[in-house]
Amino acid sequence: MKKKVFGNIYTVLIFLFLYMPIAVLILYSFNGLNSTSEFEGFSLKWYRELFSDSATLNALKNTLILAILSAIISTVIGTMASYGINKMQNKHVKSATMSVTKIPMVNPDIVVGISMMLLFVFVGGIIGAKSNLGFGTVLIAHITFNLPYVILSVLPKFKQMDKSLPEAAQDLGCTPIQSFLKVELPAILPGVISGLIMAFTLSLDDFVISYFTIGSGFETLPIRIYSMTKKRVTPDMYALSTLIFVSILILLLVSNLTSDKNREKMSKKAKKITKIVVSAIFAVIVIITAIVLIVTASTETLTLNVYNWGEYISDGGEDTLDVNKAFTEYYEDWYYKEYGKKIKVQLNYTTYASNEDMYAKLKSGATGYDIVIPSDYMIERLKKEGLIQPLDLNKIPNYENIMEEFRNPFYDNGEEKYTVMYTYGVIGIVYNKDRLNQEDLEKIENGEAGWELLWDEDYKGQILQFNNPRDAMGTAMYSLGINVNTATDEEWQIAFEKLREQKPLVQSYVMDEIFNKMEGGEAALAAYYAGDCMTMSAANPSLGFYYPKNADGKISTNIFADAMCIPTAAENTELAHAYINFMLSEEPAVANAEYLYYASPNKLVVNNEGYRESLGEDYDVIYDSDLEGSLEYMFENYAYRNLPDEKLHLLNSLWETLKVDSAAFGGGIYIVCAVIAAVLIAFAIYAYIIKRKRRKLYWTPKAKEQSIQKS
Amino acid sequence: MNEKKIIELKNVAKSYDGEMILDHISLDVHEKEFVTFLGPSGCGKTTTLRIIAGFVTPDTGDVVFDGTRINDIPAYKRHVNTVFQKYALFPHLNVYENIAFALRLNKVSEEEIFERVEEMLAMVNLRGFEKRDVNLLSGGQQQRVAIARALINKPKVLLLDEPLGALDLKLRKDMQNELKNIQRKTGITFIYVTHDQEEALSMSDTVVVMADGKIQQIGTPTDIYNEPQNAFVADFIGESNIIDGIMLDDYKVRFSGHEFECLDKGFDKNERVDVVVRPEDVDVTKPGQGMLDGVVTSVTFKGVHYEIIVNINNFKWMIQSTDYVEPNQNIGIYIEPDAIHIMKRSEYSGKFGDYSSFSDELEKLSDASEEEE
Repeated sequence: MKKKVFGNIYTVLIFLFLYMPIAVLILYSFNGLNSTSEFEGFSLKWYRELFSDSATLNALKNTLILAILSAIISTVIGTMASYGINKMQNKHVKSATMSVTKIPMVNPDIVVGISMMLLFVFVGGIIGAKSNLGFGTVLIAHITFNLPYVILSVLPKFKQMDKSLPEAAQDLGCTPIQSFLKVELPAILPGVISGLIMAFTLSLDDFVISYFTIGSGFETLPIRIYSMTKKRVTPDMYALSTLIFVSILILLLVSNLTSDKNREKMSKKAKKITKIVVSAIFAVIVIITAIVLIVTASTETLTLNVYNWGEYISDGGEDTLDVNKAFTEYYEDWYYKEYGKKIKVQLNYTTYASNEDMYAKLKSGATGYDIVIPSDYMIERLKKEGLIQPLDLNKIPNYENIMEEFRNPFYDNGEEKYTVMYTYGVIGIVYNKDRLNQEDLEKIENGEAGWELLWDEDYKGQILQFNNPRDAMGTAMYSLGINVNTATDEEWQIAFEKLREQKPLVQSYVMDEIFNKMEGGEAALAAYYAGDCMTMSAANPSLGFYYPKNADGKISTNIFADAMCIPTAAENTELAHAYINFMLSEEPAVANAEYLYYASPNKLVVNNEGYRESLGEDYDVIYDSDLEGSLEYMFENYAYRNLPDEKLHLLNSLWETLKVDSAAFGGGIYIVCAVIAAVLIAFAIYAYIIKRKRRKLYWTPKAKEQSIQKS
Repeated sequence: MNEKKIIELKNVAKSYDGEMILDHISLDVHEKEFVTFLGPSGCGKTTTLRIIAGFVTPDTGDVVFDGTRINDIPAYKRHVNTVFQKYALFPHLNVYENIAFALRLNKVSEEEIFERVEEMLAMVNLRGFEKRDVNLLSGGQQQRVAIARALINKPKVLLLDEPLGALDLKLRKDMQNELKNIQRKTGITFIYVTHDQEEALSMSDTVVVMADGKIQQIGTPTDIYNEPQNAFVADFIGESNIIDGIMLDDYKVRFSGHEFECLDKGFDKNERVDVVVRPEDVDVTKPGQGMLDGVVTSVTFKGVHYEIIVNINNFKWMIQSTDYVEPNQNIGIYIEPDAIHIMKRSEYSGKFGDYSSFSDELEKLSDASEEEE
């Protein structure tokens, strides 16, 4: 009776922890509202949105092609390998081979990913390939990590198979090849199929290894979803995740139905139905892939690889303009009119989560990106290292739309132009009116509030801080009046102490999580990028937003600009220039500005009536005239600059110290781990002693004799 | 046996990892013959079979089939078929398709396949089983499918590798008869491998007794039983008391301190020999009235007879008798001259035929303890 109760509790808990999150995900994918706290009516809105988002669909297509190809190839290779391993005579060689095969499974993905990337870049360097990473490399990587799983699923079938089967086949007249195809393959087929399915799901799911080995112009779904988190995961991702979950569930059910055990139990009719269903599913997958391949292969294709921040372009969601799609249509039309020839523009839009990620990618040899959109200080660095090239402004006639004051930013003020500004913005502080006290609210309203609220003991446990070193350290430095670019080592240390002082008050260090936390009303205060702050306050009316001022009443905060550049290793500069030019024309520029809530340097945008109307009051906030001095002055004094290497090292080491310090568990976690380890060791020793004692009883010669006599 | 030779093995040897599995054996198999390779496990009988089938290539020596040397012909081109120990039925095919497998390979027309499969099914008494899943058949039924599958190509020789090993006793007896009938009906040469001496004696035309990679004796079942050539054969085929003896003269042998008359001759005077006396050929008498006296050490009831172990001059004899005697009773034994069989001494002399340590259980126990250590 008791056992039953415990068993039931266990089952309930399992379902709760394993399937509740998925249930919630599915529920919210049908939410009529873009909120994680409220559910308002059943709606298919996010599914519609999903299928109108060309970039996501493209990523889905890539993921499917990659998964199918890698699954099929690794299954073929894995089956052949299993055949060979099973035939091995020497036991030592066999077990050594098996160990080698298993290592990649226990090897952390990150190690596999990095080592593969290194190898590809290295080999690419030797053979002089222009582009080292791409579809080919990620395919090879996927095949590699799928192989052990296929082998582990096929090899047991070979072992289970009656060893005389191939002999029986040859005895009846089969050549060895016929014997494999007609007898051995059917016997191991269940293993092959489950290996195939496993390889398919693993490949579908992989993020880490793909991330390192993927080239420009190719984005898989996991990578796209991850890069979206720069801002937040939109509900159409819930819809997509739901679809993936359901597909995998079906796949799993099918593979279970085809397993041996069930087969024996099934009636003939059921067997037939399963067979039909399985073949139908495979046929559909193959046909879809074939159609996609044929469609993409039929016309001459120009490829443009754009690498941008996540959610940093108007993507066609919620009745907005799909800028990338608009560009490809525009360019295809223009090309046809100009040259009388039909072409197809393949725009591969991939995204990153931070400047540093993008930098690492460009540096690693993932050449082939035609457009990148980094921030100011990173542009300085890219320029210094020769990773971006000067633009040909003759090919960008719309450059005249950029207002005069944005044509010579500090990071690009030379004779030759390397960049065209995309947006600019400042860091502000978003706050929850319901959580702040009256005094502070008044202070904010009077425009007297500064950074000090982020250090206010009253809001202990309700403050969010940036989870990246440059911005977090920036908040401390701006509040202290330290220059973020010319700070001495001592000043860095002081800023670090300031952050350390703040640490007990901080609820958590966040990037994209800020949306859910602030919109859900979990926190009181946070510093964040102004455009995002406005997005948040649009979603939750209790949220307000201000630019922090110092005691002297001057605004003191970071201002940043992101700009379009063409990497030195770009493969289609012609198309890249056309893309930049298109982005500066009125319709896409306005669409972007409306979507992003960041300030635009484009006069066609600033003067656009519709844009002004749609923003309403926010227009003044975004283009705040309160900013101290001119924008030029702001950029000169408040933007981040590329730091010298030794300062970067210092920054990173201080940041690590802060983060380690702030580990929530403190020293307690080590004690807990030590206790658990000690208990486990003690138990192991105890079990060993007991075993020895029992053994002694029946292993002494006397006991042995007795047992013989008895029988 | 005037039939033509169908298979000849000439001086065939095979070794694995330096261990001699087959030690230069030579052997002829005639058409329509039922030949059995009999021996304990590891004696080389299965290897010999696999050499004929083509799964093993001999190191030296020739394999001749119907007058041609077939050493280099792969298994799938040989006109022999095999029934495997664990049947090796194709699990993904049903009964009909398993049997039709060889015909399909040869692109035989569907009508002919149907006819021949039906014929085979009738022969092995499996009519109506066409659509059954082979994995769901009983051992005996699987065995029949395996035989039908191997015979459908009408091979000249059928090789059977311990085909009845996995069946229970009753079923095994039935299948023995059936196999013998099939062999008679089809006239196909059967080469049968087994370690079961009773099976070998009851089914075969010719028995080949093998041990340690060598052929110990080739002969008809009666020859093998009545005239074993050495202590190994005498012990392996049935039960035997094998006693050291001295041939005093033709028809006169001395063992156990007593002089016996016998029917054997042609040995040197006073040559040391092995004397074989089958347990069922010994008569029990009152003490002093027989040729030898002894003490009964154990009596086991075996159904048809009692198995009596008697200690005579510290040599333990096995006697099978329908009369009951008490343990520890003194008895005498009487042996007719024609119950005595004299063999030349061989490497196996002294190793077999003494029942002093005879106990099934004890043997098993000592085996187990050896394995553990």
